[in-house]
Formats: sequence, C-alpha cells, structure tokens
Amino acid sequence: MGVRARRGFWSADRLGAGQGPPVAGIRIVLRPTTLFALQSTRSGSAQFMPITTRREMAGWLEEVMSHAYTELEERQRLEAGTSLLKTYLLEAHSGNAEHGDVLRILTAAFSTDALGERSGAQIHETEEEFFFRVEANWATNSAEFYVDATDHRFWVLHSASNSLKADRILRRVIANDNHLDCAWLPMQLLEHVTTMGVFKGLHLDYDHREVPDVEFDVPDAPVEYLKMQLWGNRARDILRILRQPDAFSSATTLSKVKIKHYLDDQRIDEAWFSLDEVKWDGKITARGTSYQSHINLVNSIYRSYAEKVRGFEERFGLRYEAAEGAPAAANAMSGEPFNITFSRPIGNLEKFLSAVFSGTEPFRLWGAPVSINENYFRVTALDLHVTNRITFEVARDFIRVYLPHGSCGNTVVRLYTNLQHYYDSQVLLTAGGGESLF
Amino acid sequence: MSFNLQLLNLFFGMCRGTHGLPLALHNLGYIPELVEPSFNNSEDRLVAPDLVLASAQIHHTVVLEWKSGANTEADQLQRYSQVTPADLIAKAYIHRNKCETHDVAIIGRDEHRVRIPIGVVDGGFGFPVLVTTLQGIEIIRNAFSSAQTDAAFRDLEVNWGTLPTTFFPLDNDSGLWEFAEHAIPHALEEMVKGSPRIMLDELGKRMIPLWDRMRPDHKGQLKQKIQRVMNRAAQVEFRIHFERGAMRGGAINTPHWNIIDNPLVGAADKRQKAWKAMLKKHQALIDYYRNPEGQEVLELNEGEAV
Repeated sequence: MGVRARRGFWSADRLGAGQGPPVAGIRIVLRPTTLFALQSTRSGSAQFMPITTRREMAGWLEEVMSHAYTELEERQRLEAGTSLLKTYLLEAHSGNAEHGDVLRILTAAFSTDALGERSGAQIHETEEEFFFRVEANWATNSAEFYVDATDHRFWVLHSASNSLKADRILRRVIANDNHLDCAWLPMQLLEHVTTMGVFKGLHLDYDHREVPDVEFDVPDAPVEYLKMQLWGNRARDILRILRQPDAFSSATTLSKVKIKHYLDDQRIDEAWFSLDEVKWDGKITARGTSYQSHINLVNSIYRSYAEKVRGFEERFGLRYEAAEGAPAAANAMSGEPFNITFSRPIGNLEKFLSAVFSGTEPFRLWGAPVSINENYFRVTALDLHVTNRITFEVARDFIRVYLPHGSCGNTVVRLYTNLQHYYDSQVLLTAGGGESLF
Repeated sequence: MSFNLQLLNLFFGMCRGTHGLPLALHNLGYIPELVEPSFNNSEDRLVAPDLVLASAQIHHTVVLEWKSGANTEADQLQRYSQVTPADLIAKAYIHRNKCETHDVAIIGRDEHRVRIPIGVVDGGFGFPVLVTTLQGIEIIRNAFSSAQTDAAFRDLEVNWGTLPTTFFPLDNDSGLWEFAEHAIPHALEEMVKGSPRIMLDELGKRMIPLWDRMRPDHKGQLKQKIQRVMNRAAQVEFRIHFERGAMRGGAINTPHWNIIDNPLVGAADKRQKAWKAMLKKHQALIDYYRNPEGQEVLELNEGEAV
C-alpha cells in the first residue's frame, strides 16, 4: 500500500529547527492549515495516527478534498473507496453544555438504544475540548465522523467515509435522538449561498406525495413531484422559466446548489478554492484545493442560519412578563405568532393535518388536531426533535404558529423548509403585518 | 370560547399583526401593555380594566373594559373617568411617551347595543362604546379622542371563525375538552424528561398564562377542571402510564399523578410506537369530552380499551 506523507506545509509546532516555509520566487504563499496526517494514495482510507486536534483534521480533510478533486478532474469519476468530504450542519439542544454534556449527548445518540440492534459506536475524546471522533456502524454501514461542537448548539460534523453509509447512519441518529436535528436550509437561504461564490448548478426537489391532501389523477391536479438537476451557468435561466406563474411556480423547490468558493478574492488568487454542493438538509459536500475555503463557506452559511433561529426565538417566543420597572403583577406578553401562507388553499384539511402532525419524518410534529369549526383547526403539538410544545392554528389558506418562550426556533424553520419541499414551493413565512422572514 | 377570551385573543392578535386580522392597530404601533391589571385612579380608587393598549407611535393609550352582560356599573364608569395620564404612568407603568392622551373604551355584545351605552350616556361620560357584531366591531356611541385610533375602530371587520385562540387559551368557561387538549402534551413533555410525577400546579402554570397572579377562586376553578381531565386520563385512556397520586398520608400533599410506565424514554423503535399510541389516546380523551354520548370502545393498545 503506497502511503505517503502529506505535502509539507509548515508549522511552528511540527517543524524542526532550521526548517522554514517553502519559498516560491519572491512570493511566499502562507497556507492557513497545518497538515500532518498520512493518507493512502490508492484507497482513500485514512492510514494515520489518530487525529486529535482540529488542525490535524483540517490537514487530512484537505487531502481528501484535493484527492477527490484531482480524481474527478482527471478521470471524471472517483476510484472505489475514495470519497468526497462531507460536512453536516447539526443543531444540538443541550442547554449550556460543558464538554461532558456534549460527550453524553453523542454517546446516547450513537448508542444501541438509538441506532438499534446490530449497531455499535465508539466516541473518542481528543486533545481539544468540544472536539470528538466518532466511529459508528449500523447494519452493513460504517462511518467515521469528526464532531466540532465549539458552538455548543450549532455543531459541525465532518466525514470522509462513504457518503451513502455516513448519510444512513446520521439520518438514523437524528431521527431517533431528541437532542439533535439537521440545520434546515430554506430555498431562500440556498439562493443566498449562490452569492457566496461562483454559481455552478442546482438541484430541484419537490414531492407533494408526502402530504397527499389532493387527488393527483384528476385533470386540474397540482404537480405530484418535480426533481431536476441543472449544471452549468444557464441553470439559473431554467430556474427562472420554471418559476413563471404559468409554469411550475409552486413545485419548483431548490434543494441543492453548487458553487466554487475561493479562499481569497478570485482576482488575487485562483489557486485555493473549494467546490461545494450545499443541500437543504444541511449537508455540504466538498472537493477542491482548500479546506479553509470550504470551512469559511460552512461558517458563513451556519452563521446565517443560526442568526435566523436565534432571532426567531428572541422575537417570536411567547412570554408573559412584567412591564419594564413594574412589579411582577403588571403582566404583559411579548412575542408573536409566525404566519405561514400558501399559494393555494389546502385541499383536504384533515389529510393535511394528519400528514404533518403524525409525529413522523420529515415534520416530526406530534399532535391531535381539534376542529374549532369545519375550516379551522388547532393543534397543541409537541416537536419530537426536542419535545418542546408548539401550538398551531390551521385554516385553509394559512397557519399561525405559536412558539412558547424557551422552545426551539428550529421547529419553525424545519416546518417551513419541509412545506417548501413537500407541499408548496411558494409557501411564505411572515411576521406580523406580513414582513417576510426569509 | 368566552367573550373575555375572544376579545383578549382578538386584541393581542390585532396588535401583533396576526394573519387574518385587521392590521390597523398594528400599523398604529399599538401593543398590549397590561392584561387585567389593577391600579388606582387620581382619586385613589381602584380600577381593573380587562386590557390596556398603548402606542409609542401616536402617544396614545386605550383602556379597555368589556362586558358580556347588558349593563355597565355607574360606580365603575365613574372610577374610569378619573384615570389620568399621570395614573397610567405612575401606577400602571405605561411609558410617558405612550400616554400623552388616552381613552377608556367599553365593549359589549351586539345584542346589548341598546342597553350597554345607557350608563355612559346617563353619567355624561365621553367613553367610546363599541359592540361586537357578526361582521366585526362597531363604535355605537362617542368617539376616540385620537382620530387615528377612531379611524382604526370604524368598520373594523373581524372573521370570528378564524380568531386566534392561543394567546390566552383557557379560562373558567372553557370546555373540559379544551383542558384535555392542553394538559396531555404537558404531561407527555414531563414523561419525556423522565419526571416521576406530574404536579397539578405545574400543569396549571404551563397551560394558563398569568397563573401566578390569578385570583385564588379563579385558580381553584381552573385547577378543578385540570384535575378532572387528568383523573379521567389516569383512570381510562392513559391508565397504564400514570395514576392518581395519593395525597392523604403520602409524601406529596398536593394533587399529582405518578408516572408508572414510561415508553417515551428508552429504545427508539419503542418510542416511535409509543408516540403513535399516545396520539390515539389523546384523541380519545378529547373526543370523550367533546362528545360524551357517542363514545365508542376503541382498542388502543394490547387489550386497553376506552
């Protein structure tokens, strides 16, 4: 097996005396990461001392990215066993977590209770706080994840394992755990991502069958599902055409975008970049020459998402509180409901409610709908992601969502994003007075 | 829903700009400042309106008193007439920027549109009198001193069929099915946390806003209703999961329910099945109270029946 040393980027703590940075002519290129792991040039599987720091991880993942990039550029395919870098944005609910709390959540999430029979996992602590390595297997799937929980709520997981297997394991972990969820990226946020680099293509994914409130085999039935991949610079033109009112405006839902993201201004340096595919469920696949470029993009996306979620909780969470400077008896309420409106009325309210509030994927909302009248229902629900309460008032053309103080804003983003994918691409999320929230 | 809850939810919704309601109050910057406060007027006599709205945008406050019956009380109206901006600032803690001017408004039902203004007219008060109609809210006597506020209340159309119900979900007039609807999710939330028991007072706090400052007699009535639905749940639909806790001679001297079987913690596949079953049980409990005559015996879970 041909094992080679990772190409030699310099680092004060790794290099011996007398060594220094490589000099290329008069221009010195300083790379932001220090890379130390060893990797097989053939199989892509890691052959290295266990990674114990984020810096080592960055080095190794850059190798994975660049190997995959070269393979795809030269052969238009990946060798067996070679994989792209996958980064997953996960939201964790652990309160004011300490390192030990994160470890406990991970241990529970990857336990046999959560993953099921024929599963096993090892959670490795590293030299750094809030940084873990997880080896997990379930049924015929096995994968390795690096968990960076520096932000105790908005975690980043990396994996270079087989995509299908890593996805299966992680999907199962998230489905069965009540602390973890994906970061759900509504299509407006995905469109915003396209401005963070050079746009390269997109996926569309809409499937009304998940919320079957209408008959699909009648003449005027809405679109049942619409899935499409568009690569190249003209993809945006096609998207525009599909969104025309007389085309498929309510079934054209952006599910993935591909961009080329440069580490620095492209006009200054084109050498260091990442090619990233950003999916609506918070999975970001990358190849290219710079891990730093990739992680910069990841952080930008996550910042946008986290600001939204935290902002929602702050502004919309319903709470009863004393007026400023007043005694506790002088209560008032702050917060307001979210408003969700559709481009067409809900066909069959009862079927709609039954699909959305069954407690199962993808909505994960549990609740018994009660009719206030024939066209108006209330659901005092629980979000099974974190088992928080949340109340809905559902009419044929709108939903009001009441988030109690302390509940998770992610619930609303998940509902909204999933409605875009499974019900109505043109669904709107607004605040009081109609202010658009995405 | 009682007249009180309807109007509380309506005004909260309108001020918050809630979808499906008129936006006029929201656009004028009104926010609900105080719910059922009590403060003294300039003669040092107590007033206790149902709601106080205020706007920093137009520097105006509206003190709302609603009547489900046909009559107003002369003494109460007289007390309201002696509320000054200084009282609103010093005793009701409204910011001075929001109450340069103010109105007291009386709201009644359409069927009382003849009698409800009598006290206002006889007392020579200038309070605007409004009634709820099938179409919305209508000013039937006097006007608001703020022209913009007055315009907002003229021909105020309200779709009562889709009124918000969640700002204030329950009061003494709410049906037992509504208590069942709200109590069970809280109980299940406790089960997920692994709590050994569900306490009545905790349930009340979580289900009903302003629980801690509620009058004891009102709170007592609400507690009774919560207790009734929880006891029923413990005896029938949820009997394998929780039971009524012993008070006399027990370690806990307040009403509570002990969790005796908790399938919501543990292996994931079992939890998923349990949630499905809980949904049926919750629906059965609500249905029992909504339609006690038409109960069917439903097989819920391996021999369980309701």
